[in-house]
This record gives sequence, structure tokens and C-alpha cells, in this order.
Amino acid sequence: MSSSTKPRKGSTGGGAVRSGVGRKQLPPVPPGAGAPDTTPRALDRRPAQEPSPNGIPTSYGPFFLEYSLMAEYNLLQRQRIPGIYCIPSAKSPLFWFGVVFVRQGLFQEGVFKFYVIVPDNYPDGDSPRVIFDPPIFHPVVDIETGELDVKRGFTKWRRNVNHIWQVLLYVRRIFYKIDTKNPLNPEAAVLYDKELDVFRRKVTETIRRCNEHIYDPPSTDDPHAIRFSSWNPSVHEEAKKQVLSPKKRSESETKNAQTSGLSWVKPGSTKAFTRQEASS
Amino acid sequence: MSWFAKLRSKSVSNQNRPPTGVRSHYGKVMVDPQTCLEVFKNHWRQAYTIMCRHIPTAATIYHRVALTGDEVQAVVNYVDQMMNLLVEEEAVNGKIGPMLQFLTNENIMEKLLDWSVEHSQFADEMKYEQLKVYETLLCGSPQPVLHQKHILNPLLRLLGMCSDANTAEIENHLILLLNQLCVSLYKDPSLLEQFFNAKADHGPAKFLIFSLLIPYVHREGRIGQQARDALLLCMSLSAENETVGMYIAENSNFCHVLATGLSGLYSSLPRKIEIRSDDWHALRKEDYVNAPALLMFLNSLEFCNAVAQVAHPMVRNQLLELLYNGFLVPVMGPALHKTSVDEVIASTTYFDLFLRTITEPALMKAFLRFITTAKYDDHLVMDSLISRITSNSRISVVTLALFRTVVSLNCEDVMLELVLKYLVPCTHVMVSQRRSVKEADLYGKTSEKFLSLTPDCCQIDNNANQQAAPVAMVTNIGVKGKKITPVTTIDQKVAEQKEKEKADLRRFETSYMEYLQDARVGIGQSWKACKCWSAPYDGDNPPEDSVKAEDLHWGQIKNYDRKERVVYGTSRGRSASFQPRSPSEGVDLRPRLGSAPVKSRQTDETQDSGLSSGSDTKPDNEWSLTFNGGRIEAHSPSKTRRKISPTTSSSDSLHSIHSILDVEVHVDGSKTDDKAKEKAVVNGEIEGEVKEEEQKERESKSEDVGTDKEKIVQNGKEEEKEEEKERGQSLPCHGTSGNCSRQSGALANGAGTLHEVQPHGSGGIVGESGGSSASGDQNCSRTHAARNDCGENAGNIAHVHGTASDNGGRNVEHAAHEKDPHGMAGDTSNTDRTATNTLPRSESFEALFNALEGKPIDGELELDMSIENLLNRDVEGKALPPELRTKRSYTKLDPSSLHSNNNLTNDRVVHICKSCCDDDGDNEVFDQSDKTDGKEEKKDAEEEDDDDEAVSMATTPSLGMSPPQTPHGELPQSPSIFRPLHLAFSPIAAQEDKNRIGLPNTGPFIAALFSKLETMMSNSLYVNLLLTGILRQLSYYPLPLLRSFLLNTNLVFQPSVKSLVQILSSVKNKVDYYSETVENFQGLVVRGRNFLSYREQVLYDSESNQMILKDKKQAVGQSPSPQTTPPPTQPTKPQPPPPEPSVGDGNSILEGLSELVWSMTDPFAPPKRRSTFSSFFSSGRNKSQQQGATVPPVHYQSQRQPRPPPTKVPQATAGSAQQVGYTLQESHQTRNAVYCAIILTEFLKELSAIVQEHAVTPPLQLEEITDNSLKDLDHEVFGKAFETADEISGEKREDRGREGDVEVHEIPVTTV
Repeated sequence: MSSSTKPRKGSTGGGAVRSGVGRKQLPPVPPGAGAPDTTPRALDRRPAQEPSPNGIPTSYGPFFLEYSLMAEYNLLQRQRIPGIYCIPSAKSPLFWFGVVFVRQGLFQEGVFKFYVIVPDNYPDGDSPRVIFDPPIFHPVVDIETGELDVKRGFTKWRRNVNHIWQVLLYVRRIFYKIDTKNPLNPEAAVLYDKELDVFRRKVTETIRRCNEHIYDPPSTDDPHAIRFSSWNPSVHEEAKKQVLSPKKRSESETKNAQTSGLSWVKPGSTKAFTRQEASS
Repeated sequence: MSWFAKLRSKSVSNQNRPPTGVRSHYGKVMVDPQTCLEVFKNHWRQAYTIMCRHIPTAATIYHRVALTGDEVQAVVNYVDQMMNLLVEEEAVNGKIGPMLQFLTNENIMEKLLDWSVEHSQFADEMKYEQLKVYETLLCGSPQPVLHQKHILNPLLRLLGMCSDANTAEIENHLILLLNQLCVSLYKDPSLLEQFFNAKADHGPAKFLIFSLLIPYVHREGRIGQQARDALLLCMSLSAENETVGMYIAENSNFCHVLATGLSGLYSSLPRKIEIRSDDWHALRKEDYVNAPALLMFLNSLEFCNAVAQVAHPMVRNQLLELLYNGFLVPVMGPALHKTSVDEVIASTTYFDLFLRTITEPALMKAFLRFITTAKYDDHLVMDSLISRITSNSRISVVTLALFRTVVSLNCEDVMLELVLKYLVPCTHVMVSQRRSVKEADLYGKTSEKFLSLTPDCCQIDNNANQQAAPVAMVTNIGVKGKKITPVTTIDQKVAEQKEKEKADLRRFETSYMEYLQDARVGIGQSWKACKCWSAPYDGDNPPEDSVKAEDLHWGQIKNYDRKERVVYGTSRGRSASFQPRSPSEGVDLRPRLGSAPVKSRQTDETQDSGLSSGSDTKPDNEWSLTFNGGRIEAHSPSKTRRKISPTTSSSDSLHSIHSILDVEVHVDGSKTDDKAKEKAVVNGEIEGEVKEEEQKERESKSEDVGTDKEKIVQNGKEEEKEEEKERGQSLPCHGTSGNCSRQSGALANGAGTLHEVQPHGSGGIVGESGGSSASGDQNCSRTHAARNDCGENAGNIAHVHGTASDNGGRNVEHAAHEKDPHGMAGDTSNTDRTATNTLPRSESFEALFNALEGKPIDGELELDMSIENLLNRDVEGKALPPELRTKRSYTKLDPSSLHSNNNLTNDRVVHICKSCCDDDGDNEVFDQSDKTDGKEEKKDAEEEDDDDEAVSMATTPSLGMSPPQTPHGELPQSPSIFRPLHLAFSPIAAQEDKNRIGLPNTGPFIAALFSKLETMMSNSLYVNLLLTGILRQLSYYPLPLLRSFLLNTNLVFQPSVKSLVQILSSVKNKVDYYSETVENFQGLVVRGRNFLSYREQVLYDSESNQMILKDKKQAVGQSPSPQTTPPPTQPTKPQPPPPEPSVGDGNSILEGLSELVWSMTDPFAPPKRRSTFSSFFSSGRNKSQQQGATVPPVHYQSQRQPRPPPTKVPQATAGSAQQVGYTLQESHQTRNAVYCAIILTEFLKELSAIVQEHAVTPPLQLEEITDNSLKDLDHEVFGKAFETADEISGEKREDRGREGDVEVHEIPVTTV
């Protein structure tokens, strides 16, 4: 897990909103929802604490929020959505950094960085927001703010049904299946429908622009912010090798019965002490 | 165990040890090899001259002069000199040096040996000297001296001569030499051949070194240690050398010696352990450093451990086999079943210590296999152990400690037997919910649920100022507070007071963060450990049908179940219905009630009784209530019914019973209105009631059997009656006795049953509810009165002891047994006990029942027949099983400790049941009853009321008993549980139920734990700590089946399965209720916290200053004992000492630091950290800390806050507490309740944290997976570390082709 030395107000205050008891009546729209401020600081402003409905101290709120998000992140990791990488900010669990690699279609070779901003009353609030930085040319992405129209995929965010990995899956899909209805970027929509060539050119342009800025240092000092750097064999070659060669499981020298876990159950059996010890 | 490693290093250093004296002396002087050789030869010549002097040649034979000591000494000196020279010589060009050459050529060693043999008068001395010579040679010479036949052979001869009795000196050197030899062998295994080859002419033992060492295996002191070290070297030799392995396993008695030695050492252990403090529960280092016998044993055990680690598999297997069959089964088994409680306690703690000592998996396997599958007297050792959990004596504490150790081992086999195999069929979960077993609780729902169960008195609300204070608190203090205070200011003062107390409490608030981290560590360790398991136990694997009915010991464990589960098995259903799981359920109980048709019969009876007696119960309430109660199975209403007319004799008792019933109904009604608030109380009482009813049925049933049988049965009961009497008298009287009425007789009877229930665990509920009722709840107090009467009554009932009492007892058991298979295992067992106790009064009860029933039933005849058959069989066919007698004597041995007595009685019952089950004859019996069942079923089908159902139920048990019936048989039927109410009473429903085989249950272990947990409020602090410790450990397991069972509050279980959250909420209710009855309960809580935090502080100090924990690297002090010096930090509060020490057990104060530490070894907790539970003892982590500027987010501030220095105990606490005044008598009960409240609070936090950590723990990945998953595994190395870095670089690789120069820079990722 990530750790940062200094707690951010953002995360702490945010958690307090959800009083730790997942009451559905908890409504609110995050206060910072208006302007798409793409830094984690957007999360700083929080509504005042609400009394706990169940007598559970409100101080548990942050724990619940954060654990919910950790669980979400765990789910995401297990999904292994191709071409999408995401990592929560070191400073706030509500702010995730992401990058998507588009591997085919019109947006092929696109490498787009984005942020995921989770509402602080998650999972009872709206769907998480996704903001491309820099903004990209796409019918469902606001060309000014870079915000993706997530609501299109998740009209109503339902806890237990909707998960953040689905949002990321959706992020990936917009590049393969382009929807032009009710576009956030009408120009792109029209071009896509009417003049595909122009659209293509525009897309190429946006990809190029993104790639130009790919090595720019991130606008935040968050240690988890995604940074790109050019290939440097002295730095990366070794890492690459490691990635490519599966790690050898280090045979535990001597098993310690006190800690290493024990089993003599024959696989497929539910009877104790059925496995024949391999005499080694 | 580091033994072997240690040994190696030691031996190496031994080997390298330069013969310093020699080297310094000669090393410089004798530089010239030639000169050395000359000197060497010269020495030998001189020595040889002396030696030859006494060789009986032809010339000297007649005037031979005796050898003198001086001459011997001279020879020795020469040889010493030679050896000193020799060790300086080094091999040249791979050839041995000239001196060594000379030595072998001249066959000097042989000559020396011959010479010494000649002169037997100096035999010992010469042996000794020669041993030293070889020692020098082996130790010092850089040349391969052992490869020289002329050295080796005399050496072996010499050793052979040493195999007989030796003096201590010789022994010393012999062992040293042997040790050196082993080291040489270990370093140069090619020598082995020499040793084996040389065998032929040297006696029968092939491997002389080895057989010489064996006698010293169990020797104390240095010699023993050296011998064991040497043997270990041989063992590791054997691992690589088949011949040696074969030899040791087949031709040596090594393993036998080890195993029998262990047995011998065990028998010399103290039979009784002196228990010096109240919190003692396990043997710690401090306890046995001064116990040589135990140290010896542990030494040998560790040696076995080491042998098992390094020896050849053949040797290892043989050793383990012998240990199992030569030590564990024949020695440990009986030791764990001794008749004296003290001895059993000792054995249990020894065994616990052994388990904590062993590190070698193979050896651990033997021990675990023993407690898991071995039998003693035809019942599983494990079952006996489990049965002791519910005891009220010390035996329960040590048994809990043992199980804590066992559970923390992460052993699949044990867990399978204890818990998992009962969960695998998934019958405990409602069918519709089975898919949810795997679900993770993403949003902390369950955590919230757990946290919401925090007792009122421990709730610390941040916003307390704004929120209305909990009613309970206000009324509590307001009503019962000091009367001095003017009325007008009461409110204000109360408010202030309350605020103060809240503030005080807040000061002791523990850090949730730490719980989370503990949970993380705990789950992580378990997660890693479980990777080697065979299955993930996630509901799919192993498949539901993989556990066969036989595996579940339906026959045997059931009896157990009966005993243990009785209590909660019965109460479970009810509480389930009381608990508003969902709004709809809470409001409308009917569907749920209807869903448990099995039990509704009982309900019916209750209802009937209420009506027939014309009591003043309100029909509505009663109805629902009774239905709740009705969840408990009523087995044979039909029987009781039948008797209506004949026995109206005891109208008195009838009446009284009615009143009891009424009371309960009444309570229930009112309480249900209150929502689940008083659940617990109600439950408790109802339980009692139900028990009673069941028991009555039981009685009536047994009465139905021929009259002669009946007599016997009654006689059988008499014995128990007496016990009951004792118990009854010993009962604490909570209620006011004013309620004693003419009904007292009958009431007493009821009370008797209530009381009987108690030992099982739920009885605790009854007791507690009674206690809480003291506040003025008439109903409750009535019950109490009843209890008080119990003793008397029992006295009145005294009957003549029948000679055939044993048989009688058995019969009853049998009858009960017959019912049992039906699935209400728990119920029946309970009933057994209750029935036995109250049988003497059965007539009146019968009458009662008859009156209550009013409906004759056709099927009864057959039923009676079957029962009669059963009984007949028993009486005629079988002799009393031996264990039955022993158990009996067992109980009688301890009249002093009534509690344990109770338990033992339980045991006995169980054993009896078991013995019955085990008998083949039983099957026949059951077959018979099967047939009758069939008939009955038909009849029942024709009848329309639920009573029929009951009948069939009562008889069907036999189905369950027969092996072919599996618990799965009921799977298809389980939907019937959801049957709407009207269906529940329909014949169809009845028939469906008949097919049910045993209600789902979660096994005796869980049952025992839960029933103990139910009595949490009356348990001692230490029992609760242990209990919650076990549950915590269980909760750590990342197995969806277990996790969902323990921690998923959203799952709906079968009515017969009680969930952890149900029990905890009932405990909460009890605590809440009780706390209202005690003046200034919250003040006491503050004091309790205060004291506990002080204890932790002391522990902390002792931990840092002392080395108590040093040698136990895993030991984590759980909590210090209370018997410590009075808290120095409490100067302001001298008069009312903290509750704990102030009462009784404070006598053993100041036993020393060792007492401060609970050595609950928690192998998984990192050293230096408090294991979870004790963390709450530390004060100082108060709310303000968390609250202040920032509330700590979990992982965004994940560094563990440095533990705040132990703060001074707040003095305000004392002050405020005093202000309120301690008018309260600090009884055990109150004290336990206070600690219970605190522990419950902390336990809930802990569970909540565990739930949250589970939610973010990746699913268990078993080790035996394909290679592809290797990388996955690496990714999922426990910890939710954001390991995207890897992935991204992986991606980079994939995408590089396309993205060309786009590279991803390494992302800094910190992992925790």
C-alpha cells in the first residue's frame, strides 16, 4: 500500500462524510463537482461531518471509505483490463492516476493519461469522474476540460453493482466503440458520423499531441503520479528481464510448522491426513 | 529449530579448534620434518621398550614383573609427545606424512591397544588415555587419519571395549570422541564405508559409533547434549546415505529408544501444575525453567524434532510412527483422560506446550493427527477436548489455550476436522444464499454491523454533545444516582457526570488503526500459510458433496452436538427470529416462524398450555412469541398427549409451570415491542422454557415405556438428581425470594431444568437474564425465585437409588438418542440432561403435558413400541460400557467443584451416548424404529395438525442415524424451511420434514465456542480473552466458507445455525440490560479500562526491560495478570481499587514479573507488538488524537503511529468515579460484566477490522497451480501493494512495438 508521510486533509475530511454507516439516504454531490479541477486538491473541500446514524463514531468513516476503495482497487487489479493502468494517488484514496494504451482502431497508438476522481461519499454518490489530461478529441470527451462522459455508461451509480473497474473498462471501450449520441464534443461526433477522414485526422492530431507531452513531468508532486521516461537500457533492461522471466519460487528451506501452514489433505479429498508424504 | 544449524557451526568450530598448546610449543621449534620424525621414532622406541618389558615372552614368562603406574604414565607421556608431533604434520603432495606413515607401519595404535588389554589392572586408565590420544589425533591432525586402517581398526576395537559400563571420566571422553568421529563422518561421508566395513570383526552392531551413542540420548547435561549432537550428525548422514538410513531404521533401536524415552520422561512430569494466578492458562518459559523434568522432556522432544528434520525418511517415518503409537496414543491419550481434573489440566497444558515447541512439520503431523483422529476409549480425543471448552473450571481455560495454539497453526487437516468439514456441504446457509458465500464485503457493511453492537456503556460518541445521551445512561444514573443531590440539579449533574465519564472513556479509546494493522498481519500470515492447502474452501472447492455423512460423525459427534449445542442450538432459531435482520423480518415474524415447522410444534404446545391454563397472556404476543420459542424442536408431543387423562395428579406443578410459561410469554411479548432490545433476556427464558418442555416430553416418552423400564430409568436419574441438588444449592440467588409461592415446587422443577441447561452455555443466558431482571422485572425475578427453589426441591425429590441406575441412565440416553438423529442434535442432548435430572418428577410433568396437549394421537403406539424396543435392547443386550462407570466416578471425585462437576456430567452423558451409538446393536434398533417411522408417517400424513409432524419428527431420528443418510439428503428439502406458515402445519410439510436428516450444524467445535461465547458476560476476563483470541484466529483464515460463516452478517443461515453476530448481539443486549441494573456501570467500565491499561503498561515495561519474552521470539504478551502491584498511577484513587484485584483473586498478588505476562504465544504476531487484544489496554490513544486536525485515513497515513508512551492513568477518572460513589458491591458478576463489556467492545472493533482487511485481501491462491499463475502470485503477494509498476513495465513491453519510443518510467511505489 502506498504511504505518505503527511495525511492530507482531503482524504480525511472526505471520509467523514460517509459516517461509516452506509445509509442510502446519503445524497450529496461532492462540492468540488463543478469545476473539473484535476488535482487531488479538488477533494479538499468537504461538507461538515454528519452525525453518525448508528452511534458508530464518525471517526470510522475514513476507514470505511478507504477500505471500500482499496477493495475496489483490488477488484480492478484482478480484472487486468488490457491496456489500462491505474494507481491511486499517494495522498488521497479518492484520486487515481491512470493511463490507457489503445491498441487498435481509430485511436490506435494513443497513450492517454487520465485521472479518476471518486466522489467522497462513495459508493453512495455519483459515478466516479474520469478526466483526460490533456483533453483528447473524442465525441464523449469534453475537449475543454477533458472530462469523459461517464454517466453515459452509468446513469445511476449503484453500490455493489457498479465498480470502478467497470468505469475503467468503459474508458477503454470508448476508443473501440465510438458513440456519438448526445456528445460532449459535438464537433467530433459530427465529424465521425459525416466525415470520417477529417475525424481521423483530428484523432491522429490528438494522439500526436498526447505523445508529444508524454514525457512531461506530471503536474502534481504526488509520488504515484504516472511518469514516462524514454527507454534507458541501463535502467530498464534489467527490469524488463525480470518481468519477462517468471520468478523462481524460493523453496522454503526448512518449513517451520509453527508458521508455514500445514496440510496433509490429499487434494480432492476432504479427509484429514490422507496425503501420502512424498519421501524425499 | 535452529538446533541443527547451531550444531553445525559448533562442530565446525570444534573442528577448527587448534590444539593451541601443541602448536605453540612445537610449531616454532620443530621446523624440520626430518627432526620431527626422528624424535617421533625415538619416543616410540622408548615407549615400546617399556611396553615390551612386560610382554610375556618365553624368557620372561616365569619372572614377570608387574606393570607399575609409573611405567604406564611414562608410556602415556611418550605417546602424548608423539601425538603432539603428529598433529603438526601435514600431508605432502597428497601423501601422508612420514610420521603418520611410521605410525601405521609400526601399527603403533594396535600395539598400544594390545598392551593395554594385557594389563587389565590399568584397563580404565588406559582406555581413558587412549581415548584422549584418539581425541587429539582426530581433533588436531590435518591428515586423514581415519583413512588409515591401522588407526581405524584399533579405534573401533577400543570403542567396542567401551560399550560396557564406564566411569564418568571415560564416558566424558568417549562421548567427546564419538562426537568428533561423527563430525569427521559428517565432513567426509566416504569414511562411512570404513566404519561399516570394519564391522565384521567387531561385534554385532554394524555402526558402532551409533549404537554407542544411543544410551546417552536422554542423558542430562553436557554428555547428553554432545551425544545428541553426535546422533543428529548421524541422522543427517543417514539422510544422504541409504545404508545408514536402513541401518538406523532396521538394525538399531534408536527410534524405539527415543519414543520410549519420551514416554518415560513424560511419566516423570509433575502430575499437577501449581496454578498461581487467575490468568494462568499455559506453560511459559518462566514456568518451566526451574522444572527439570519438563526441561528434560522438552529437550528430548526438541531432539526428536531435530531428528525428524534431518534424518532419512525411513528413520523419520519410523520415529514418527513409534512416537505416535508408543507415546502419543498410549501415554498422552490416557493422560488427557485422567480422572483427576488436575491431571487433565496438567496434561492439556503439557500438550499445548509441546505443540508450541515443535517446529518440524512431520513431527507436528504426528501430534496433530493424534488429537484429531486418535481415539481414546472409542471416542475421539478431539471430542473430549472440545467437550471441555464449555466447562466452567480451569480445565476450560487450558483447553481454550490449547485450541488457540491448534487453530493458529493453520493446519488444514485440523481445521477440516474442527470446522471446515461441517461448512463444506454448505447446508448451514440458506439455499438461496449459497452463492453469496464467496462474496466479499466491499463497503464494510459487516464492519458496521459489528461496530453497532458495541454495548451502550462503551459507546464513545464524538458528537455526544449534540446527540441525545443514550437513554440507558440517563435513567441509570438519574434514577439510581445519589439521592443526596437535590432533585432539581440531578439532571444537570448527571449530564456533567456523564460527560465526564464519556471523556474518561474516550481517553481509553483504542486505535482502530492498530486493529486494522493487526488484522492485516494476521490475515496475511494465514493467507500465506494456507497457500499450501489442498483447497481454498470457497464453496466450490472442495465441492459441497465431497464431505460424506460418515465424515461428519453423525453418530458420534452428534451426541456431542447434543450436549454442546443444546443450548444454543435451541435458542438459535428463536433469536434468529427475534433479530430483525431485515425490516420485514423484524416486523413480521410469521414467515420465519413458519419456516421452521420442526420447531413450531413446541410452539403449539406452549400456546396450548397458555390457553388451557387460562392464563392472562395476551394472545397476540403470545402467539408470535410462542412461535419463536417454537423453533425448538418438540419431539414427541404425541406421547405426552396420550397421558392427559390419567395423570392430573399434580395440578400444583402444572399450575406453576403454566405460570412460568406465562411469564415467559409475557416477557417476550413486551420485549418484542421493544425491538430486539431485550432479546437476550427473552431468549434466555424461553430457552429455559423450551428446555423444560422438551424435557417433559422426554420424560413422558420414557414413561411410556413399560413400567418396569420406567422404574429403572427413574432410578438412573436419581444419581443425577443429587448432583442437581448440589448445584441448585450452589446457585447464586439473584432474585428476591419473595416470589416463592405455592408453586415453588413446580417452579423449582422448572428452575432445575433451567439450571441444567446452564452448563451448556446458554444456561448462562438464563442466569444473566435473571441477574438483569433484578432491577425489577417481575417476570425475571420470578424465574429467579424458581431457581432458588431448585435446590430445595431437588432435596425433596430425593428418591431411592436404584441398583440398576446405570442401566436406567443408559436407557434414557438411548431414548434421547433415538430422537437425536432427527437433526436437532443439540436439543436432544440438552434434553437428555434435563430429562435425566427431572425424571423423578416425571409424573407430574406428564400430567402437565397431558393437560397441555389435549389431542390424542394415533401414531403414538408405534412410537412407544420403538422406544420400548430401544430400551429393551439396552437393558437386556448390553452391559454398561466401562467408560460410563469411569465417568461416573469421575464426577463423584470432585464434589467440591460443582461447576466442573456439571461439566463432567456432561461428559458422561456424551460418553454414554457415544457408547450407545458405537454399538452395533444400535443399528438394529434404529432399523426397527425406522419401520415404525414409516407407519407413522403415513398416519401423520392424514392428520392435519402440526402435532403429527412432531411425532414423525420424534421418530425419524433413526433415519439420521443410519449411515447411508447423508446430510445432503436434506439439501433438496431445505427450501421447505421457507415454507409459509400455513404450509408449515400441513401434512405435506410434515412429511418433508420427516425426511430431514439432522439439521445443519457447524460442528461441535464451533458449537462449544459459541456456547461459551454466549455466556460471555459471566465468563472471567481471561476466558473471554482466550475465547475471543480463538475466534479472532479463526476469523483470520482467508477461506470464504469460514469467513462467510463467521463474518458475513448478511448471509442467512439455516435456523439451526447460529451466527457469530447473533451471539454477539445477544451478549450486547445482556450487557446493556445488566448495565442498567448496576449503579454507575459506566464508571466501573472506566475503572476497568483504567486497570487494563495499567496492566498493559506494566506488561510493556516488563517487556522492554525484561527478557521474559526474549527467548520466545514469537511470544506476545497477551495481557499481564491482574495480580500486580497496585498501580502507581492511581494515587488519587486508593480506596476503591480496580475491580479486578479488589475481589478474591487478589491474594496471589505479586507473584513476580513472570506473572505479568500471559504467554499466549501468538506465533504470527510480530515480535514487539502487542497482540491485538491487549492493545486496547494501552491508554493514551484517545479520540482527540485521532480527531484533532485530521482523522487518520487508513492507508494514507499508514505508518503505525508510534505507540504513545504509557500515559498516566487519568486522575479525573478516579475522581469522577468517586463522586458517583461506589455503593455497589463489586461482585464477581459485576466485575465480569464490566470486563465483558470492555472486551466485547474491543472484540467488535477487532472483528470489524478483520472484516475490512478481508475485503481487501486477494483471494487465496493455492500453491499447486500452473506455471502461468506464477507471476500472478507474485503480484498478489499479500498486501494490497499497488504493484502497478510491474504491470506497467509489462505493458511497456507489449506496447513498445507500437508506441515506439514511449516508455514508462518507473513509478515509485511504496509497499507496506
